[in-house]
Amino acid sequence: MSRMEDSDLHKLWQDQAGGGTSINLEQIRRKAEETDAKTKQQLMANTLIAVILTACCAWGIWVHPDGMQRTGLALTMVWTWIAQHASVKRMIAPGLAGEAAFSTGLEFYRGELEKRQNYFRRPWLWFLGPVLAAIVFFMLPILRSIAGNPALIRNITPFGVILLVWILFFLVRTRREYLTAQKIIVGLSVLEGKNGLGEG
Amino acid sequence: MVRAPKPTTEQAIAQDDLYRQVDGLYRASLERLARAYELDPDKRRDLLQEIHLQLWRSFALFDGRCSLKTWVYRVAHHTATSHVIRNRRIYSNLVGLEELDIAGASGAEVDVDRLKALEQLSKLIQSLKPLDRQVIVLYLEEIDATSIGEITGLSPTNVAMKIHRIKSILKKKFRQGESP
Repeated sequence: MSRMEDSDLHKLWQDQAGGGTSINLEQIRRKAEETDAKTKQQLMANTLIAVILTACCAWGIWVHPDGMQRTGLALTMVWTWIAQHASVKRMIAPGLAGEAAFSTGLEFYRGELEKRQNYFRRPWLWFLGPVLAAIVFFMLPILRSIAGNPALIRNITPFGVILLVWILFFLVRTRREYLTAQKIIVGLSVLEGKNGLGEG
Repeated sequence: MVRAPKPTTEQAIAQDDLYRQVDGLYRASLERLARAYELDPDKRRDLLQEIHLQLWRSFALFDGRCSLKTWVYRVAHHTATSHVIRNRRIYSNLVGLEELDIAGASGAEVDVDRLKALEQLSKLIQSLKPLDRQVIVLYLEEIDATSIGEITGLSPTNVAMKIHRIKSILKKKFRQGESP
């Protein structure tokens, strides 16, 4: 092939054999229904987790006479539902269609990254916090007995190690995602700066 | 879940008509766009369906504030960009146009046929960061610089610089096929 000119490349790109994928309105409506159903399922699954955690906490409050433990479990219940509310809000927030079409590629990309960054900024608030609080308050009597008799620490070491590894893994992963999103946002800010210079 | 206000019957008909019109005009172009974002055929089909769905939904709100072309490309690229973010591809080694020369220099084969050239071109596009990918795809679709600016939000100067860069990269990359 001899050297390609601009027009050849345009032609090359535009002439590429397509699969001729035909998508009619009926398929689109079905896809819309499927997407909505999937989101509803996810919402229900999240709500179910929150309900289970609440039920466990309520049971803990019912059976344990310890005031501190009961208060802790009650707070965990509240925390769970605050996190659940935030999660629902995130899931039903307008996605791409409609309003998003009023944004440019740059604005949209930045917005998506910021959403992601906000989510990964506070893993304690939305996920780790309620789960760990529930574990700690349930284990409060055990932790107290360990404080009274340090020799018992060996009994919970395996569980403690697994929990710690899981927390560390989770935190490292979320931190990495947060930092990557931040790095890209900084890059976009530089681009926006150049945009300003370009227009000025 | 996208919560668009429920359209009236007339609006729904207009929405469907607009979609049919766009499907007729841009189907092939949208298919190429999906190819620029997803290599895997099954995932690409899903992405394309998602693009069509988002377009159809978006037409409930289309008010002519921008041209239909700008609207279509914005929705399509936004959907594809979300796909890239969702699949965590932004965490892999995507490069900017500025870095592409170095990244693309290694192992560039002398291409002899169009299929290979197209493959090389697709690979090159897929290695780019989302915004640069938008610019190169729009350039290859022969969208004018002003419209590229409107779609991407880049200033005319920035668009011009990026297109200049794209041209020189493509020239270098595809000159390798020149007969001795």
